[in-house]
Amino acid sequence: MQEVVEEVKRESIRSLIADGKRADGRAFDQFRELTYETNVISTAEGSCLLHMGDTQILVAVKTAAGEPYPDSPNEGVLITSAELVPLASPDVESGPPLSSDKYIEIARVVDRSIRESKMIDFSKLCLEKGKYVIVVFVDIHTLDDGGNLIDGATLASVIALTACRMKKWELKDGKPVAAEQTQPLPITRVPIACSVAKFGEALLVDTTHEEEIGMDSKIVFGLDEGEHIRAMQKTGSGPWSREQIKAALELARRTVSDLRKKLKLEAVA
Amino acid sequence: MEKPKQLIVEGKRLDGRALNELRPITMKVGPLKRADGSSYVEWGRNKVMASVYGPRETHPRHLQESDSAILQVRYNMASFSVEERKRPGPDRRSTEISKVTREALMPALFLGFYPRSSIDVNIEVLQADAGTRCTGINAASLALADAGIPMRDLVVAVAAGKIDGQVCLDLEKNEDNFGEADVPVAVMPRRRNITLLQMDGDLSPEEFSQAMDLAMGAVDHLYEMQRSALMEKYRG
Repeated sequence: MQEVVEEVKRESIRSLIADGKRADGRAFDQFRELTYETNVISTAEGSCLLHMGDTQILVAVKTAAGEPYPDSPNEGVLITSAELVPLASPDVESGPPLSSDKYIEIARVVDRSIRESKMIDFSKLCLEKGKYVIVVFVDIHTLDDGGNLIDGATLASVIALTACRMKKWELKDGKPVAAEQTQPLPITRVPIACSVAKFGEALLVDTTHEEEIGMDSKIVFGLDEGEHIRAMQKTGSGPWSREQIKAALELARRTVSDLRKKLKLEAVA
Repeated sequence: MEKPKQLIVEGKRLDGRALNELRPITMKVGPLKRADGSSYVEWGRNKVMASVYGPRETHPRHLQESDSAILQVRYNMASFSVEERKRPGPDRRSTEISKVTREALMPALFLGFYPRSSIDVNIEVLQADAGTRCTGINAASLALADAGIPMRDLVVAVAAGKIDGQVCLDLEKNEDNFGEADVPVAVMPRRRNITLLQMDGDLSPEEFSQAMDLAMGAVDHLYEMQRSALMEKYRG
């Protein structure tokens, strides 16, 4: 039964878009209304609750002292995880976290934009070379899956990271301890992701959950302030031509530059 | 290994290749007897084997679709395939690669011919040296054709990237570790349809366009290699 309903939805969404329209009346290059609150979770060191149309994503940042990776002994560590909690969508079956490849992909693509843009200066997160560094955990909780989760999760993550007042980690008698004071993370720049979805010849930003049922596939672009590409990911199976990829990149650059102006996101350090 | 001072010396890379040159590649079709289709690809120091089983009954059953076959892909790195032993079994990286590989292969298959069934692709990386996902996609394409699965086209994969500020083709391990960007691409050659695109690093839009030029420029050569590997087995 569900398959039939999906097929009907798919057809109606595609024919609407072929007529140049979207179900919620937006233009193809128009983002849904974005609002957010920071530091809504007092047990986390930084957090952001983001509303993007019907999508609600909560990202929390916590730090801990831990071991560095052997190939970067004097750099802090970033660990990004994404969980779709069962309250977010009827499609989620309860079970162990991170069960579906969709959520692993979300975490890895958000991580890629943050890491490859060098958003956080990890060299400032070393306590003792080769032994203790600060580990930054970014935990993405999708509360309501209204679509375009990667863009939303990236945005909520970078906002939570910029708002973060992390524990001040110090070495006492050779062991890491958290002092009373807090300090901001060493943020150098702020990446923003924009996914462009393809429906035949049409390219759309900020797809809703319903639209995503009907799309061919999408490409996520993680862009820095200089509009350099730091991360890319095609997700979904529909193929692309070179010209469409070029047009999608242009659309993503325009969209990200608008978002930057609107949100006034800047590096604090 | 420490970061080398230069990755490009007098226009040549550390392994002697030109910027637009692929590593040496060999492709074999049908090395496995039990599988419905199989292949073995060596790409530089990468050694990758692929098998295809199916169309066959879908496991787990609830995944089956009433109007088409499903494609299941498992990309796996052997514990001994990397310098420092890898913990066996799937991790987040291999789960992601399995997903994007499935999405790269799906457009080439007529899955609608086999309702309710499953086509299972296994990609086993025996020795890794950067570029395993592309090697795996080429291997999977050959194994699918070997299994006699009806296909719109073969799927060819290759990466471009940037080292020492220069865009180049097919990064090997040190170039991947110490370079500035990596862009794996999969293509159905006949209509130049791009079925996989990923990137990490730092590229300006112009550099990205150059990287795509290089990757697309290698497609015909790889397509020809896949075709002759298949001919080798089936022409007898």
